[in-house]
Amino acid sequence: MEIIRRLSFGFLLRFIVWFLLFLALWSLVSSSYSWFKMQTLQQILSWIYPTQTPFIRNPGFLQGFAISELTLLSLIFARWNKVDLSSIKKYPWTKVLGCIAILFIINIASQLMEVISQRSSTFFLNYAVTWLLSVGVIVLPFLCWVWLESTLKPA
Amino acid sequence: MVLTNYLLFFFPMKKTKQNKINPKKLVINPSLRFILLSIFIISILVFISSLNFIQQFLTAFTALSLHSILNALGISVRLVEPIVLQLVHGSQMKFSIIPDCTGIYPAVVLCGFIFAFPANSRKKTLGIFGAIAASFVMNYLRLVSLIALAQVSVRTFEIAHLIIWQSSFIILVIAYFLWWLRWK
Repeated sequence: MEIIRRLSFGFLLRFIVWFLLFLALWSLVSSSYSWFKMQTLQQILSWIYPTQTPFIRNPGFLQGFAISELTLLSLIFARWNKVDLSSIKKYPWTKVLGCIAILFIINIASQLMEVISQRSSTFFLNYAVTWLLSVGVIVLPFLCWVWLESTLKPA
Repeated sequence: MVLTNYLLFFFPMKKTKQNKINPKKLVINPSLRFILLSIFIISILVFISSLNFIQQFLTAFTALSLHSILNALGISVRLVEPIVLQLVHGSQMKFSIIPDCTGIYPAVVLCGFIFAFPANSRKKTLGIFGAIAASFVMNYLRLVSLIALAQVSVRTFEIAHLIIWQSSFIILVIAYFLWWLRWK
């Protein structure tokens, strides 16, 4: 928790800069990413509904911007300034990759649930979709980052 | 220590050398405590905000207040349904207010983080009121600017809706929480 208490205005500024930079770079591949997500979802839907597979006509709702993954990366990159750049090698990058993979799986799962909830709407399904898509996009990367920071050994 | 005492109260054990409880081992890591507690609180708050009558109230209130704000600012819109607004001039686009448009979710996230973080109750109370106010102010700014953009260009509206304002909520949550942590 100490890392959170020590965060400064500089950290916030670096976070915003990294975040905007990542978003700008991601916009180059966002349509391909959206298409990839649509194909993945379509494949999973064909396993769930082998006879009457729903067809995703409008991939716009898939939102090609990997917002939660980019938020996590921006938070990670914002911790380094010119002074402590050397500690970049000691960061648990394997865990970072694991977190990004988890965030991607959660994103796919939530969008799958969104499609299913349009067929059979239940309170639990709507609740889960709301949690994951409206709240989780902010909460999950931040908590992943807090966990990553907590695994670091104090200098 | 408190947790150990509770455990010993509910599950009394004979204190022999083999089964003596080490209090240090039962203390939860503060980061893990924060993560679990914030997820738990946010889940409860999302559950409450998902209730039908709360969602109906929030969307209807947002649509009504937005209608008044936009007309006061000179952007002519009409309320075609309790939660649907339509531009009178320009693209004449229709806007349906859904629960995500009410600004409730950034407020819920901030409240969860503030509740879960160890601080005194005065700081928490003020932090929560500030979070709710910041979230709703930001949301009205977002809605007004998006509808003003839609009057000019639908394509620009779509880009701003998808990228700029979704990202700005993330920045708001992180910036506000970090500011609150440093605020005395």
